[in-house]
Amino acid sequence: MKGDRPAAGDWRPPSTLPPLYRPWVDQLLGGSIPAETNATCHDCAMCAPPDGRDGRGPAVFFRRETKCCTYVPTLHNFQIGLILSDDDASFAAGRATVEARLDGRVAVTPGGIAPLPVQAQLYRLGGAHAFGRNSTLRCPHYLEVDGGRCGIWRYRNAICATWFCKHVRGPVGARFWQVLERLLTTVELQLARWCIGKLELDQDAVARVFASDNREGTAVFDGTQLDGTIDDASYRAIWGRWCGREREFFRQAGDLVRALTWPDVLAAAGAEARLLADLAVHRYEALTSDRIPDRLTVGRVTATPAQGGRVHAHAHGVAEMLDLPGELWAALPTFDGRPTDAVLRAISAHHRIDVQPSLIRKLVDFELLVPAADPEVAR
Amino acid sequence: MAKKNAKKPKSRGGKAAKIKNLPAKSLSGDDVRAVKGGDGTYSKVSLEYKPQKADGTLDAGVTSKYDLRAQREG
Repeated sequence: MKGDRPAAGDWRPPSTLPPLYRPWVDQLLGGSIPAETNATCHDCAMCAPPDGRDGRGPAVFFRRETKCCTYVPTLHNFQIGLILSDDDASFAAGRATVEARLDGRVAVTPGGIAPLPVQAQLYRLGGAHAFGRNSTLRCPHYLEVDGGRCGIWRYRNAICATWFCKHVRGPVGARFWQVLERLLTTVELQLARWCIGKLELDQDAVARVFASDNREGTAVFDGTQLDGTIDDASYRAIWGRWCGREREFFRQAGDLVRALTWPDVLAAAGAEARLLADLAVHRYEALTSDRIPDRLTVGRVTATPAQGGRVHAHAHGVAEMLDLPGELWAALPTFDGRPTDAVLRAISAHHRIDVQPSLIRKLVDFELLVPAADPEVAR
Repeated sequence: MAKKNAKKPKSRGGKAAKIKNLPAKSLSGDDVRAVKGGDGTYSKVSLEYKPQKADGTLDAGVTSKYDLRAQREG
């Protein structure tokens, strides 16, 4: 994939990343990212099943009519351009949701489309209590078809593209995706600004674009913005010579970014992106490693009884809970810091369980087991 | 901290002798599944594991809360 341009033609679900980003990230990592198969958007893994079979205990569920889409995404100028240039008939409904935001003109700048000020504040106020469970915050690109799906899936932003409710490798995967999110979010913002420079926005308008940046959520909004309307004079000023030709501006931004290779992207995105790129590679190595520590002990684990003698357990600070056979739970304290091979022999002898390497790997990934110090080395 | 139903998982103890002659059961990663939904963001769990310290006493058990959005923000 090295040096490839984004090629939508060879992209198919469940390929994880949008087609613009996949070749960039492939080139950065030197390999593909394992699929997060536990995050099943078509049959939301965070929604309680209709029969309520697993809907017991302490689990928190999302609403089926929102899933995790209780977030209004920022779309950067080049993403909007790619959306507007995609004339695939099957994409018409999704494209229309973006057209509607553009027609509204509120929070539409040469940088892209931001959430409405009121939406941004409600998201902040709702926090974890509202996430996944509030229709007011539902994404405008959410389509009520096929059980609910994203209308702009192929062009979704870095936050949506890297967020998973569950990770096959638990915290190991979460840590990787978190840094990739930060990398791609940085890249998106810097590329949007790079486009503004390339398209020669008036300097007064450039100043207004920076002034409109509300990523910290601290901006004071005027009355029209809070009403979800726009002050015409302000809108004209922020668009400068491009006012009235906003869609053309976005399309040109899309064309500029579509042509970039990963080295081009890094050159445009700056030092922070390069640091994050190195960190993403480091986390990717952990994500693709199957190494099992030589010595293990039980982590800080909490658990609750489940049906059929099974146990639901999770490590401190880890969101994802595992469903364990009861006999495995009973055998866990055998991991007491001795060499792992000796522990496995003890479990086989005393609990009559042959623990396979894939199971140990999973328990380590989810931090139910954690590395222990070698006492010889510690001395 | 609520101790209702709290118990420490049994390990190498008396039960081992009773099951000594049973054939070994093989468990792989597929035998451990992710639970539907998120963990107890606002609830405490009723059964906790207490690690055993080197002197044989039980270390403090842990009850955790987790903010789903915190996962997103790292």
